[in-house]
Amino acid sequence: MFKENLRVALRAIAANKLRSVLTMLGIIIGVSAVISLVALGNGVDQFINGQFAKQGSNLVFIIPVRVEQGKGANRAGFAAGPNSRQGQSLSLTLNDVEALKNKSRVPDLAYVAPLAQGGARAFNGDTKYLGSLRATSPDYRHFNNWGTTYGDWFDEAAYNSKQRVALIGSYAYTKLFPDGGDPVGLEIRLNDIAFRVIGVLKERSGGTQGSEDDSIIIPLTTFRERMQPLKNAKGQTVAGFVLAQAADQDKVDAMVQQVTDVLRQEHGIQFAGEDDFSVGSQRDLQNTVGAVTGALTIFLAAIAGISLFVGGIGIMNIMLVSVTERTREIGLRKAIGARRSIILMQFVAESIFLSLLGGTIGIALGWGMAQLVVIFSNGSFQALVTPGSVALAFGFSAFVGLVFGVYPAWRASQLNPIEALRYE
Amino acid sequence: MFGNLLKSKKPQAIETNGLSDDDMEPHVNGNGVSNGLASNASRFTMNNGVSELIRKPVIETKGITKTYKMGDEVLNALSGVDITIYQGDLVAIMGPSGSGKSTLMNIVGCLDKPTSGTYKLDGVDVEKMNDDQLAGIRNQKIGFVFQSFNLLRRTPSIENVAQPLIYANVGGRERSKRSREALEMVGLGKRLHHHANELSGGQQQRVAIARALVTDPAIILADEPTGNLDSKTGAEIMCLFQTLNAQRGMTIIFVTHDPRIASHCKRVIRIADGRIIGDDATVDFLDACRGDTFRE
Ligand SMILES: Nc1ncnc2c1ncn2[C@@H]1O[C@H](COP(=O)(O)OP(=O)(O)OP(=O)(O)O)[C@@H](O)[C@H]1O
Ligand SMILES: [Mg+2]
Repeated sequence: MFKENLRVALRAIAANKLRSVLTMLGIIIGVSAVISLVALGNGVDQFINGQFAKQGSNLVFIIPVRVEQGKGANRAGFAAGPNSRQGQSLSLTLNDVEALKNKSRVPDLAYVAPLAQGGARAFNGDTKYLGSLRATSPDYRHFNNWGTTYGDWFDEAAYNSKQRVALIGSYAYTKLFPDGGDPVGLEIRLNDIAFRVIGVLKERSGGTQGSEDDSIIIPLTTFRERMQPLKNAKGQTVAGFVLAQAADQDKVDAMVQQVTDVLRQEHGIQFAGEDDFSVGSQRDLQNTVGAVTGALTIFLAAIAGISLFVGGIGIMNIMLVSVTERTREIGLRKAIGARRSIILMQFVAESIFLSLLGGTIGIALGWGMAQLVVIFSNGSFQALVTPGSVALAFGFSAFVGLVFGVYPAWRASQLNPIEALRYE
Repeated sequence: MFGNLLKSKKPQAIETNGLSDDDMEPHVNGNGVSNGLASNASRFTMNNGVSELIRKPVIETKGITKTYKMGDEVLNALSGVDITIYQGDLVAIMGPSGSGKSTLMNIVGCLDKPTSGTYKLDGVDVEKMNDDQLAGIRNQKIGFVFQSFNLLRRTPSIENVAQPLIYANVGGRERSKRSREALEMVGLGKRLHHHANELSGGQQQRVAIARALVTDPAIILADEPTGNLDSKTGAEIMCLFQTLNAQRGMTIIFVTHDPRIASHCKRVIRIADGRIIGDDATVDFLDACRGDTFRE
C-alpha cells in the first residue's frame, strides 16, 4: 500500500509539475535559508573559537566598574579634573598593576599590563593615518609574544621616564610609510605631539583595519602625562583597564581569585562592600559570544518556523485544490472498495511527499548557497552543513507535510461516493 | 465460480463475432454465434421458465424505500421496491428520467443505504453495515461500470484494472496476472500499457469492465454503460456483456434508456415513480454480437 501511495503521489505531482514546484517554494526557501544560515553560523562559531584558541584562554580582563553613590562612594573616586571624562571610573591604577606583579600575592599570574585605548591621528610628514592608539607597559609584548620586524619594544627605563616613543602596527606601517623601509628613529606626530618611532610590530591578526595591526602603541605613562592625564583621588595614575595572563590554563580560576583579593585589599573594600572592578576571563567572553550565537540560532529557528508554517499553508491550499479536482477519482476509489483510512493515507502521503521533496531541494539549495559564500570569501570562512541540521530540516518538512496534509486528506476521506462520482 | 474459471482456465478472449477489431486476440474464431450464444439463449430461456427455485438469488430486496428531504418537501425516490436477481441473470432496468433507476442501483451497489427495507446481497444482510464494511462489500462482491468510464488518467490500463485488487490487499505479482487476464478477456490484451486517455471510448469502457471483473464479483452493476458511446460501440459493449454472461455466468444488471440495448437482455425490469411496474423475461433476446439490430 505504501508503494501504491507513493506511485499515486508521484503521478499527481508529475501531472502538475509547475504547480507542485510553486507549492514547494515556501518549504524550499525556508529550508534552504535555514540550512545555509546555520552552516554559516557554525562557520562563524568555529572561526571565533579559533581566534580565542589563538589568543589562549588563560587571558583575564580587569575592567573598572562604577560604584553607585552611597554604596562605596568616592572610595575609588571619580575624575574631577578638567581633562577627565565625566563619569569614567578611575578605580584601576598603575599602583594596582604593581601590586599584581608581586609574586607572593598573586602566585599564579604570569604577566600583567595596563591598557588604555584611544584614537590615533598620525602624521608622517604629510602622510596622514587614522588608527587606534594603545597605551600600555613593556609587559604587553609578552601577551602572545608580539614581536617586531624593525626595532624593538620600549623598555622599563623608557616607560618610567615617560619617553615619547611609538611602536607601529603592521597595517599602520603600510599606511604611514607607504614606501617601506626601516622607520626606526624617524619622527611622527601623534595627535599633534611628536613621537619617535622605535619599532614596527609583526602582523598579528590579519593585518587589516579594525584589527590590532591598525594600532600605534605608546607607553601608558607618556599617554597619561601628555594626552589624557587621569589621576584618582589619591593622586595615583589611572591605568584604564588591566590585562593579566595566568601561568597555566588550569590556574585561571585561582588567579582570578587572587587578583580579586589583592585589588579589594588595595582599594580598601570592606567585607560586604561591592567590587569597583570586574574580572572577566576569556572563557566568560567565550560564553557571552556563545550566548549571542545561541540567541541568533533561536532567531533563525523562528524564521525557519515561520517559513515552514507559510510553506505548510501553501501545501494545505494546494492539497485542498487537488482534493476538489480529484473528487471523481476519490468517488471511484471509494466505489471500488477504498476505505476512508486508505483515502486519508493516500492524500497524507502525497502531502508529506510534496513537503519532503521541497525539503530535499531546500537542503541542496541551502548547501549550495553556503558553499557559494565560502567560495566568495576565498575560503577564509567555513560553512558547516551538519548531518544534524539536515536531519532536522528533513524531519520538519515531513512534519509540516503531515500536519498540513491531514485536513485536506480528511476532507477527501469524508466525501460521499455518490456525490463524488457525480461531481463535474 | 468465475474466480475459479479465472484461476484454473487458461485465459482466452471472449468470442465476439462480427465486431472484431485490432484489439482482438488472434485466436478469436467465428464459430461463437451458432454453437455458442444460440444454444446459450435457449438454455437461459429454460432457466427463466423452469428452474427458478433451484437458482441462487444474488440480490434480494424487500420494501426498499429512499426518501430525500429537501426543506419541507419530502421526495420519495423509491417507494417499496422488491426485486430478486438470480445468479446468471442479465437484467436491464428501464424507466423514465427521474424514476429512481440510479437511486436503486446505488442502493444495490452498496454506495447508498435505503431509508427502510431490507437488502440481502449474496446471502449477506448489508443494510446495517457501516461505511468501511460497505467498502469491503463493494470491493469483494460488486463490480461497477459507469456511464463516464471513470478511469484514472495518465495511468496504464493494467494499473487501472488492478486498483480494486490493491484495496483487497492482493500481492503485486498476483495482481498483475489477474489484471492481464481480465484485460485479455475484454479483448484488450494488446493495450495493457496504454494510458486511459490514449484509448477510444469503447476501449476505455472495456478497461472499466475489466476492472469490474477482476475481483470476481457476485454482480456487475452498470448505470447506462453505453450512454456515452455511439450505437455501434454500444453494441460491442453489449456483446461483451452478453458473452460474459453466457460464457462465464456473470450476473449483470444495467440501466438503459435504449430499448434496443434492453432487447439484448434476458429480463427487463421497468420502473416508474420509484415503483416496479413490470418485470418480464425476454424469451427471444437478440444477440448483440451479430450486429443485426444496428444494421439500419
Ligand atoms: N441526492 C439527492 N437529493 C435529492 N433528491 C435526489 C437525490 N438523488 C436523486 N434524487 C431524486 O430522486 C429521483 C430519482 O433520481 P434518479 O437519479 O434515481 O433517477 P434516474 O431514474 O436515474 O434518472 P435518469 O434516467 O435521468 O438518470 C429524482 O427525482 C431525483 O431528483
Ligand atoms: Mg440515472
